[in-house]
Amino acid sequence: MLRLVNIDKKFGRRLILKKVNFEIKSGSITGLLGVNGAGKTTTMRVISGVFAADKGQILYRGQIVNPLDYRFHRQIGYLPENNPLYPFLTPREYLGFIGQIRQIPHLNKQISKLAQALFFVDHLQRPIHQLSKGYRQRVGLAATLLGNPPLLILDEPMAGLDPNQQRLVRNFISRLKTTILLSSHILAEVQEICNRVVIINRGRIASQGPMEQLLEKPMLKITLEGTKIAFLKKILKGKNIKIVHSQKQGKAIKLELTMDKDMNMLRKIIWDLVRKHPKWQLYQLESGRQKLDEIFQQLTRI
Amino acid sequence: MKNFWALYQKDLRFLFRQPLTFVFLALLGLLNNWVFLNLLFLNRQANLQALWQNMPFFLILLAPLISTVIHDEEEKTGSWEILASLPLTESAIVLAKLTASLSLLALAIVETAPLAITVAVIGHPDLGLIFSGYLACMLLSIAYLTASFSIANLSRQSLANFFLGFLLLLGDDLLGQEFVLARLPGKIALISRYLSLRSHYQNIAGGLLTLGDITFIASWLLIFAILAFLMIKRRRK
Repeated sequence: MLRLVNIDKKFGRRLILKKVNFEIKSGSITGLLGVNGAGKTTTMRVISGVFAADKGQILYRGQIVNPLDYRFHRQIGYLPENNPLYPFLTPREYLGFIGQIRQIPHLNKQISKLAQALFFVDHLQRPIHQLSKGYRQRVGLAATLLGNPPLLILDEPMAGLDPNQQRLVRNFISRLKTTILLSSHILAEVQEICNRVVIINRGRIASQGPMEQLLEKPMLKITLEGTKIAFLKKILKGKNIKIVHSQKQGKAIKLELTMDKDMNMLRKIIWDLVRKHPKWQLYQLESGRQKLDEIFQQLTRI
Repeated sequence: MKNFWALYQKDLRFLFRQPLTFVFLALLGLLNNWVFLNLLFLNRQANLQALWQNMPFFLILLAPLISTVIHDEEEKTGSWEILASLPLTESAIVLAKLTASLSLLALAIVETAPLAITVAVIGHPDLGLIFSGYLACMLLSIAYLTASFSIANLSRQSLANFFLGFLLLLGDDLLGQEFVLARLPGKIALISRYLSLRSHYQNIAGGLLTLGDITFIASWLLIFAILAFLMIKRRRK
């Protein structure tokens, strides 16, 4: 549905986005992950037309678009980070303002429907500055949904909410039948509601793809004695095995290993190595799948 | 047009939901009435000349103040990001903010209507002059607001923007002040007078509307409106 091609964005001399390439598939919920300052918000702002990219192209349904063009903005519902709203308006006035600009027919009906779905009907006439963070977030979310835009860009939609409100927003988002790009620091939540994931690190795309594919990578936890980490790293690198985590515990070394091939291959390589080195003593060999937070740590480690 | 109307309503709500707006309107009304009535009984003339003489001073202070406040509202709440992502043009944003600010100033000017009525009741004023006075006030308000709004977009330092706007308007006003013009050589004095909004304002308030006045005010509006438009566009770079 939307493809970013070689997007660069500079602020002053600092290059924030470096040749960012990724695709948001139609109907998918894509999680955009990265540590603070990785470039998530900048990426979302570039897509939403808050500011222009310095280089690169954005393709929407196969056509090159200018995100600064206000006609393209009709296709997008954007919830910025920190959800800035006008505190002097009531939710009804605010949603009316957004709806009028988006030229949405049957606006009052849509506002009432969204307020019901997000449980803030009783707060429609209260000034926004009197609302709690949770209600403000719901109002912001309702504003992005007005007119059912085909693409939603949600920057940290659950930030600062209590667990109950997080669940409410999460359930609401996962039930939406539209294409969504969302960023979040809560990885378990991303794993739960997203079916695709893009990991960004220092302005570059570190990984992207369907969630299952990313989580399919095998991971082996082993505990060894009789060798050194540096030596192991050298050998394993030659076999295309990544060390996700290593830790020394007395004489033993605890390792978490992963590779792009399947688990049996990974096990076989380890067994072969242990047989080749009689001094090595293998105490533990535990296989499993990588969790999203482990992949995230691995890809965004400083 | 629908976009403009929605933005205008939002900006107007912002201005008229600030308690400070009502304090400002009350103070301005009191001040104008007090100054004018004092001069009216001193001059013993049934016209509003004393009011028109003081108006530029009020506007030099008020236009940058309102422009800074209305611009700062988006800056403080971070709602520029919302505006930038909506199907809106920069010109609709500029036009709506200017019109909302002008509505507030227009209300402040309308507050002087009791003075016009008083003059009409106690004397036989030239109604054409009263009308041209109000027209001059409105034109000066639009011109001052356009300039100070474009300055308000210069940086994110509201106080600096306010002072810069204030100094620009004060400087322009001084160019048309008699005590400045008297110290300037002939041709430069002529140019200086033409460049000052005050001289055009005085012409119109005095019932004299020339092509020169219209050209100058229209050019002023066009230049500063384009500047404001470009400043807002620059935010997206």
